[in-house]
Amino acid sequence: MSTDKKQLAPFIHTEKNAPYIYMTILASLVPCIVCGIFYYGIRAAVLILFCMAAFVFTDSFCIRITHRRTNRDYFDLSSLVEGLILALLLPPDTTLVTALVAVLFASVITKQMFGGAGCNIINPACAGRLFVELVMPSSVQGFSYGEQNSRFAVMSLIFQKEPVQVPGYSQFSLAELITGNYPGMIGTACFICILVGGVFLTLKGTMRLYSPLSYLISLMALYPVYSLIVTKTVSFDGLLVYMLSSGAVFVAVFMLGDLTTMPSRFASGVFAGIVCAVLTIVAKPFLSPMVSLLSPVLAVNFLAFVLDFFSKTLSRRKIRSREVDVS
Amino acid sequence: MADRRLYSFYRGLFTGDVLNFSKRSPFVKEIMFERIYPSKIILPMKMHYGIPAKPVVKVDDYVRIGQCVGMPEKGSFSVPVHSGISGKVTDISEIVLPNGIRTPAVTIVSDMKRARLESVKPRSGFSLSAKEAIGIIRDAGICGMGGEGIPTAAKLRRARTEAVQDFLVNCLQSEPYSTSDLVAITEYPDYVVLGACACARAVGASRCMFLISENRKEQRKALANSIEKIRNEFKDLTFDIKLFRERFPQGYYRLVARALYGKNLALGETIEKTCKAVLFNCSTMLACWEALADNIPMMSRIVSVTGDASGGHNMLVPIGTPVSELLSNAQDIKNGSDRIVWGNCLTGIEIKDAENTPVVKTTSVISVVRRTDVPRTPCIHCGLCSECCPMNLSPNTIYEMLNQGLRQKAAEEGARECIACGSCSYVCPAGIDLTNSIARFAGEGRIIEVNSLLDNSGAELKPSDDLEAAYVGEASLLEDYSDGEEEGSKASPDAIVLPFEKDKKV
Repeated sequence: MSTDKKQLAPFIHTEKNAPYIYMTILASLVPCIVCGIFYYGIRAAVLILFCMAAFVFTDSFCIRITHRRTNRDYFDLSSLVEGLILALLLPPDTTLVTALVAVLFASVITKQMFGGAGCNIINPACAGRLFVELVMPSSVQGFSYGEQNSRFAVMSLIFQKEPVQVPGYSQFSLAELITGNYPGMIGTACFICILVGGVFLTLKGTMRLYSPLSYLISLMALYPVYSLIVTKTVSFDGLLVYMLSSGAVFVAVFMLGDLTTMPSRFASGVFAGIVCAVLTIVAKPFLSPMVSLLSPVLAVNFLAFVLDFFSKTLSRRKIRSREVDVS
Repeated sequence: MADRRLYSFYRGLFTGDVLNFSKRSPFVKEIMFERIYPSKIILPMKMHYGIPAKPVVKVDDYVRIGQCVGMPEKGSFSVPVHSGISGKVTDISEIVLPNGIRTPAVTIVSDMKRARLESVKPRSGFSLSAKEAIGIIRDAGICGMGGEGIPTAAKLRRARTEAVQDFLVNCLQSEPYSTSDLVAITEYPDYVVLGACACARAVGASRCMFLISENRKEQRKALANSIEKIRNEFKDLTFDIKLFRERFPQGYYRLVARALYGKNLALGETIEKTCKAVLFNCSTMLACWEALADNIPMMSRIVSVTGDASGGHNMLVPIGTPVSELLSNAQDIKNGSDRIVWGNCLTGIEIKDAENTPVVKTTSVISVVRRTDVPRTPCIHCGLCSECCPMNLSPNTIYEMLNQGLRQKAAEEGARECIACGSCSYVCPAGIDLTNSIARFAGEGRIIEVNSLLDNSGAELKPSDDLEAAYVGEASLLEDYSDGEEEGSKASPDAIVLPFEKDKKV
């Protein structure tokens, strides 16, 4: 018999490795990018590229100074994904400084401080966006119609414009809301593009459906509660407008469908989706739209481990009750 | 016959979606199934669960096909070993099998005359008691061919002691690429069914169930036809074909118990005691009927030579055939740098020395797979390993605990339940070798479970000094499988009459 060192089983591996997963997420976001650039022109493209590059640079810098990575042949695509999602959550007329602040917070505080790719407890893009929303609220109000400015205007990336009061979304037609032709974030406006991305991720098996579905269904079911708090009447009026314009679908697909920060078990995933929806509905009358949308996501991210633990414990309670002997 | 309900356990790998299993057309199968006559065989004396047999031949002895070359010592838990070729014994020496087992082995060089023992011929007109039938199976050296290698006679005796009601025939071959059991059913369905019937009667079962994947329509049809043919001969038995979803590793006995009876067997629990059922591999049933009807000892088996670097061959080979002989007959293996795996590519063991590595009684597949480097990235905590673990564990959590030395915590997380199926390592996007770390921990101190799924966790890491301890450990675990001599069976009131007329050949 040979005494050479041999590899142990298994000898085959699924093609769905980490770079593949991140590549599919990048691919699924392409429709949103195209749509954003189509409506808002070159400034959206620059903002997207800037956020991605800044995220990659910050991550690389942190890894270098902490001497964390040893495997140099692997390029961490998670930085690109998170930078991209963060950019898509920004209004088109956001300055690069604001974007940089969001990226620094997302990368350094929420990702690298917890150990880097895969170790983050909360979604970095979500945390970064929420941070600038809370700390610099006036700097993330750069909403505009796509056709309001020239597609080649880039000054808004440097000089901050006056905050824009977004008109009520109920003024827009259904076609405008579905196609994303209304003042909103770069990537969250077009319902069709988000849906295409979600379907793509589902088909590729790189998204768990139970949290997004339970979130969206709960959100629709609980909408009358919001209506009750605001108008004192129980009704579904404005539900469709809210679902199409608030970015809830984007959050559902690209944040609640995330493999890393969301629960991995069916029961806990469904529960997390419901909890997220409840928190969103409760927070919506009292907080700004973006805060009420993103803060529940972070809350659920924090809960993910606990939910998974309890879900597993319940399903394995019989086994855990047995005596365990370890020498 | 076959009810429409689909049985399965929760989780596992969906074969259709995740693994590229070999799906061969009937046309290809006819070409690919061939019989191999090797120039030499290496017969290890330990190919089963138990202690090694003792060689009863000497160097330069001439042996014929079917001749016993290894006998168990009296009172020991072992099975005899028979030669599948005729020729001269050239060497008797100790070898180490890829799974770390050190055993004496008899090397026989073929004279290509294919001389058989005269006694190896169809048995004519017989009436056997249960004990006689079990005795024949024991003397034929039959052990579980699905991977466990437990002597079949001992398992039948235990089933008889436990008064099982259901006799389960495992026709679920869900390992990637391998199709040897399916070929056994396709080619010899009557033998499989008759073997199952005879053994079911021997253990006193009232129901005979064939467990098969829903996708294997051809094999299902073959089994159904065979059952119809012999139904009138075995009126005391009821027959059933249970359809299962094709998932890996569906054939494991604890998962069968979960799917079929809804019972979660704990470590140490047996399917016989808890479910009043006994589970045998279909190839084992084929070998049993060959022994009962044709007096053929276990000296050959069907082996798949397959993998992503091979086209998929099934060969009927004598036990002990060197792997290199199989590979030389698989013409489409082109690349010399491919991995050769002794077993299936999720749980098997890579071999370097194919010349001196034999096919043993539990080898159902030799896999030839391409060398691919999986990019190793940090764990992204995606939970895909937890999603697919058939034992409902959280491999990533356990892996971290073991890495940090939290063995007690890992055990509390259920690490001891690991069956080393390889699913978690297969799906891990970060390319982390979860299986070996967890299975090694799970395998400490429980030899029978380690053996249950062709586990290789200790193959490279177990020092040779531990092998003796392993033998002692195995012997101490055998109280349930007592292999004592049976007495006077001719006048047994529970005699079974096998459905043969005088000189009728099956």
